[in-house]
Amino acid sequence: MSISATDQGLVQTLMELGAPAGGTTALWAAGKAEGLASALQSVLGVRRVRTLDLAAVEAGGALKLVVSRGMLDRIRLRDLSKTLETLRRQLDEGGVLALEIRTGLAPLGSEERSLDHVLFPQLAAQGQLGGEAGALTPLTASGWLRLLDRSGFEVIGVEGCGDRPPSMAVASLHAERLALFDATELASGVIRVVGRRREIEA
Amino acid sequence: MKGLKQARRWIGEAKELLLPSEDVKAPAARESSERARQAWHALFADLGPNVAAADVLDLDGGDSRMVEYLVDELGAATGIARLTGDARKAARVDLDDREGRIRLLREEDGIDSLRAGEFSLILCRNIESVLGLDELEAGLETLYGLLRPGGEMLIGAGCAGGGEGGYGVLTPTGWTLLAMRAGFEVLGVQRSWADAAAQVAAAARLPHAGDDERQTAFMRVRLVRPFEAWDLQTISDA
Repeated sequence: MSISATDQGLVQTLMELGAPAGGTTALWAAGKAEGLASALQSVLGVRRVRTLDLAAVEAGGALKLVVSRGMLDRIRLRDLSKTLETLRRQLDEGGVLALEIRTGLAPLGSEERSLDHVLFPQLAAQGQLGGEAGALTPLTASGWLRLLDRSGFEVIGVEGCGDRPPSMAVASLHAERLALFDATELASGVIRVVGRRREIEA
Repeated sequence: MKGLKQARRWIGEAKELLLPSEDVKAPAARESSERARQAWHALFADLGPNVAAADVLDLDGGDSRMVEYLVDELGAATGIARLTGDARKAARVDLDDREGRIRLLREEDGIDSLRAGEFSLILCRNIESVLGLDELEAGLETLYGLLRPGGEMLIGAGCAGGGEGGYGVLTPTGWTLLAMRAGFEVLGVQRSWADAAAQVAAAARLPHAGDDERQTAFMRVRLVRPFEAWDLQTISDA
């Protein structure tokens, strides 16, 4: 199985942020994820990768690592806490959740129109901007990090906060509307986060 | 002469009885109106909403004072006050003198009982007291639907930088994102900043956020349902 540079880069980053090597890992990812599974084995030295189906999960697990890409950031706010609790229960105490999250401000599509779904969400909701636009959970990077903390994960590593501001073309075209948003959050469209399970205080 | 004096006194008393001065007419109502005026100016007036001839919904006023003030003093056409919490006891239930222009809505009746497009101005001092996080996305869409195109909503919202505000997760940008997702345009924002101690705590809580995001404890936002919304709906339905 060939590993793409994207998959390899993601796993490399998650490792640098604190994702543990070895052991069995559960992967919860959108679309075909064989490449990501291979990257986990070759880069992180994971012995076995199994696919996680949250809908089928009943009891808690004892995993050292759960990796997720492109799933959590498509869940509506009302279901997020429950989903995070389900993920938390899959982990052993001290186990790690490693995520790539597209925030509600993540760019989509071509560079010039990359933030159209954020700036004109009604058009996105009407399907005028392509199918994918508007489907992301409406949380900022800070919101995601706070939610993880409140859901029983100690955030031990983050990458991508404030790293990628909108292009000059987008900034000059939509300066007035962009001013409604915090510049750091706008530059945090895709973040990679590693959080360690901790017990939630009663 | 004595007769003239007596006549003047009787006329004065009769006049007071038929056309009482404001102080005599209703001191309690006058005080209540003054409190509503102060609250209006402290909470919403600076955002510059359109009140004249508006059909108003006050979502969490507790009692009916604000709506009465807007109808009686600022020229709003009608008002519905949603009675919440203990303050409902203070609501005036005898509002017949407004010829039905003011109505009361019980908290337990919920906003689902209201008609779509019924209002041109919605007030909500603290949106978190009206909607839980699990109903926030759908609730904002419902409130958007209660407004007619061009209608405005003024909301107060706590922010995560101030502690547990914003359900502990929403910063000003988070609120903006959600409001725009529901269809609103943002016309104006006023921020209340966290105090010094809270700012130190916020730095630990939101280490990756910008300064304004971190330091905003509460915000008031003027939102509008844009006129274009009708056109978009027409396109979508076609």
